[in-house]
Formats: sequence, C-alpha cells, structure tokens
Amino acid sequence: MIIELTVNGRAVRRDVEPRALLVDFLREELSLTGTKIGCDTSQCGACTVLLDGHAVKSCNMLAVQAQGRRVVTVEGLRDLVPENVQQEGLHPLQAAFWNSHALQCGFCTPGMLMSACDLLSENPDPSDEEVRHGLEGNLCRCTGYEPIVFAVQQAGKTLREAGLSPLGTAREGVRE
Amino acid sequence: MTPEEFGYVRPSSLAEAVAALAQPGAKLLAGGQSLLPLMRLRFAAPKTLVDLQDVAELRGIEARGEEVRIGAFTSHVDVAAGAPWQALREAAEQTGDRQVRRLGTIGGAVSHADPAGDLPAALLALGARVELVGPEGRRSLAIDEFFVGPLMTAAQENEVLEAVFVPAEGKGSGSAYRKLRQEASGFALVGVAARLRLDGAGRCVAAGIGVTGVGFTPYRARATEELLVGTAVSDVEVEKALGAIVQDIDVASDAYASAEYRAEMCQLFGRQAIAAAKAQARS
Ligand SMILES: Cc1cc2nc3c(=O)[nH]c(=O)nc-3n(C[C@H](O)[C@H](O)[C@H](O)COP(=O)(O)OP(=O)(O)OC[C@H]3O[C@@H](n4cnc5c(N)ncnc54)[C@H](O)[C@@H]3O)c2cc1C
Repeated sequence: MIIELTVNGRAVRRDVEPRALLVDFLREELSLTGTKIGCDTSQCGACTVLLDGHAVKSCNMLAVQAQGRRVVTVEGLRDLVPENVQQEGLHPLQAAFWNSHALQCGFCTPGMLMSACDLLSENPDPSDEEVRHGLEGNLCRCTGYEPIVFAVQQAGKTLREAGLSPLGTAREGVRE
Repeated sequence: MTPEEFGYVRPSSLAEAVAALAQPGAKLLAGGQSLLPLMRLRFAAPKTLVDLQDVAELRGIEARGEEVRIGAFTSHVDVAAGAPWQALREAAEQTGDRQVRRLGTIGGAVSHADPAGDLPAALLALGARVELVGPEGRRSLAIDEFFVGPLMTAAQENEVLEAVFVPAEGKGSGSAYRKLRQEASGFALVGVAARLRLDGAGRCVAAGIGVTGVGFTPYRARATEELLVGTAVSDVEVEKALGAIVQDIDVASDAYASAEYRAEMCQLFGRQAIAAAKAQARS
C-alpha cells in the first residue's frame, strides 16, 4: 500500500507492506540506519524517533500508521535547530552527549537523544529525577546513566540560553 | 520479528470502524503498544487491522452531566494531563514509559485487560463504566463486569469500546494510585487505587478500591470498601479494612513475587493510596 509522510523534513512516498514496522521502513527502505533495533520486546528504546514532535518506539509501530505524519530520526535532529545554535554541525543534545562522554558503545544514543529531545521540549530545565523518569523508556548498558543525565541538563541549559526548544521553536530564554 | 501478513484499513468514523470490524479475522488497532508486540511474536495473527487513529468520535475528554467521558482513543499522556481524579492521572502517568504513554490509549489498555494493567485499577476504584458499540447497537457495562479473565473481557469480538465514563469528582472526594513496579518491566507487582468521599465531619460516605497485579484480573476489593464506609478512616480502621483486600482472591505467585509477598504489599500500597486519597478529600 502507498504511504506518504515526511521524514526529516522531506516528503516521502513509498509502497509498503502493512506489516512493515516503522523501524524497518526507516532503516531498509530509506537507509536511515541511525535508528537502532536493540531488543524484541519494545523495552530498550534504541529505535526511538519523533512522530509529530514526540518520542515513540519505531519498532512498535507500523509504517502505515505513520501515513500523513512527520517523522524525525537522529539523522534529522540537528536540522531542527538553526545553524547558529548547532555546535560543529551537531544539535545541542548531540554536542552535550559528545562533550560529557554520555556514551560508551553508542548503541542506545540515537534513541536517548530522541527521547531527551521530547523531554526537553516538555520540560526545559529538568531535575536529575525528572531526567531519569523522562528517559525510563531507554536502556543503556554502559554508562550507568550519570553522564547521560548530566548531558541532557547541559543541553537544556544551552537551549534555554538560546531561547529555543529542542525542536527549534522559540521560547522564553530563562525560566524563573 | 515481523508480524504475519495482514490487511490494513483506516476508517474515518465509528460506523465505518464497526463495519470493518465485522469482517472475519478483523481486529482493532489503537496505540499498538500491546497488540503489536503480540503480533511480532506471532502470538496473534489477525487477518485485517482496523486502525482507529482517524475516528474522531473516539477522542477527547469532556464533561457529560454527572459523568466525564473519556474517548477510547485518548492517549495515556492525555489522560495523565487532563483526566479527572488523581488516581486516574497517576495510573496513566505510571503506565509504561514516555514512548508507550504517547501511543498507548485508555481504550486499548482496558480492552487488552492485562491482569497487571494500571488504568484498570484506577477505573475500578472510580466505579467507571464503558460503552461498547457493535452491529446490534450500543450497550453500557460497569467496569467490574468487564474484566473476565487474563486478557479476556466481556466485549464481543465485533464490538468497539467507544468510551470510558467516570463519575464527576464531587465535593469531599479524593483518590490516588500507588504501584510497586517490577523493576525490569515496569509492570505492577501490586497496584492499588483508592477513592474516598468524606462528609463534613470527616466520615467516609463512599469508597472504591481497585487492585491490580494480584488476582486473575484487576478487581474491586468490595469487602475493604464496605469496611471503610462509615468510619473516620483512622489508621486502625484502615488496617482492619485492608485485612480484607485479598479476600476470596487467588493471589498470584510467580518468579518475581510470592503470593505472600504480594498480599503483604497490597496492605502497604493500599495504606499509602488510602492515606493520599484521604488527604485530598479533606483539603
Ligand atoms: C514497553 C512497554 C511497557 C508497558 N508498560 C505498561 C505498564 O507498566 N502498565 C500497563 O498497564 N501497561 C503497560 N504497557 C501496555 C500499554 O499500556 C498499552 O498501551 C495498552 O495496554 C494497550 O493500549 P493500546 O492503545 O496500545 O492498544 P493496542 O495494543 O492497539 O490494542 C490492545 C488490544 O485492545 C484492543 N482494542 C484497542 N482499542 C480498542 C477499542 N476502542 N475497542 C475495543 N478493543 C480495542 C485491540 O484489538 C487489542 O486486542 C506497556 C507496553 C509496552 C510496550
């Protein structure tokens, strides 16, 4: 069946089987392999993408369900924010993960970034506890989460100073 | 794993959805957060999926006289943010994780009827009802008649759950949900929802207790409710009422928790839920 959707800002039209999972569609049909498959039970979150601006697990959704909707994968993350807010071509979240060494093997990172993006768009200045709760759908087996929590808060700070949400929309610079 | 092959339709009205569901082998798809994992493991292989995402009648939360109607396709995120009753919001907020709450829906959670589902516990405590629509028309069922076994409900295969109705929050009422999570899966080892209404003198005039993760289905602890009504909900009275929380229940026992431990945790989490509901009812 033919589906039309937007992926990373580009209009995409493809013929897919109804049973194709969104993650397989992204990886195999569109060659967007940044999105990972880490488990078979929808628990690990490595496949997280943004659907209409919110984090969802692309392994637990059909490509046909995304008909008419907007999908952003890690490949499209940096283009959500203007170039002057990118750091060496990276989204502030990616830059913060890089700078704080919030990864070791890196397999969970694309999913972590997308969930963190959703979290920061809802809560620009999360506490440690709020980051942990906000990322509970993403498992990391290397870092022990400490540097991830720190990186998300750092990115939050950068974005607050720029007066932007992680999705690139304007917002009040600093919260009271 | 990829599910077995199936057809896919996306009706744009409730009437169309009912018609599509009447076809042999058809199954409804809401958030897909319970159904797709089963299909990927090939435990379920429907012939056609009827995706409800475009059915406007199934969306939203609105007051209807003495009740509040929550459309079946309302996501856990929207229930957590906008439903009446603290117990319901807390149960939605503690369901799964951020991504699951975005796609998962209240209608899907109720219809899936997981014996450890969070929303069912809250809805039982609130004395909710559901409305089902099928080829023969519409009917209403009390939520405690709805769960008939693990992953089994009183809905017919050709019925669409249209909405859940909860009573409007009255003066002097309060509610809460407390859950002991199984750390790896996040599902409830034990979950207890409590609803209380207190009169001006602080006496309990109505109580609802919903329990999940413990029995064959989520259930309403009627004996505990009866023991609470008429009391001042003092510690001693709560203790006595909670003594009956697993009365007549075949308490689940598995690798994660023994029946004895679950029964004990029902007391603890029940006490917390009742205390929180009481504090709210008085404020
Ligand atoms: C990683 C993970 C963690 C989770 N953790 C929890 C948890 O902690 N607590 C918890 O309670 N749940 C949990 N869930 C399940 C989650 O809450 C689901 O969202 C919910 O159980 C099903 O809702 P859905 O909208 O996704 O339904 P679907 O998966 O689309 O459907 C579920 C079933 O309901 C039927 N159905 C759906 N809508 C209707 C309708 N309107 N009328 C009639 N039948 C209908 C479908 O045909 C199917 O049989 C978890 C799921 C995942 C993947």
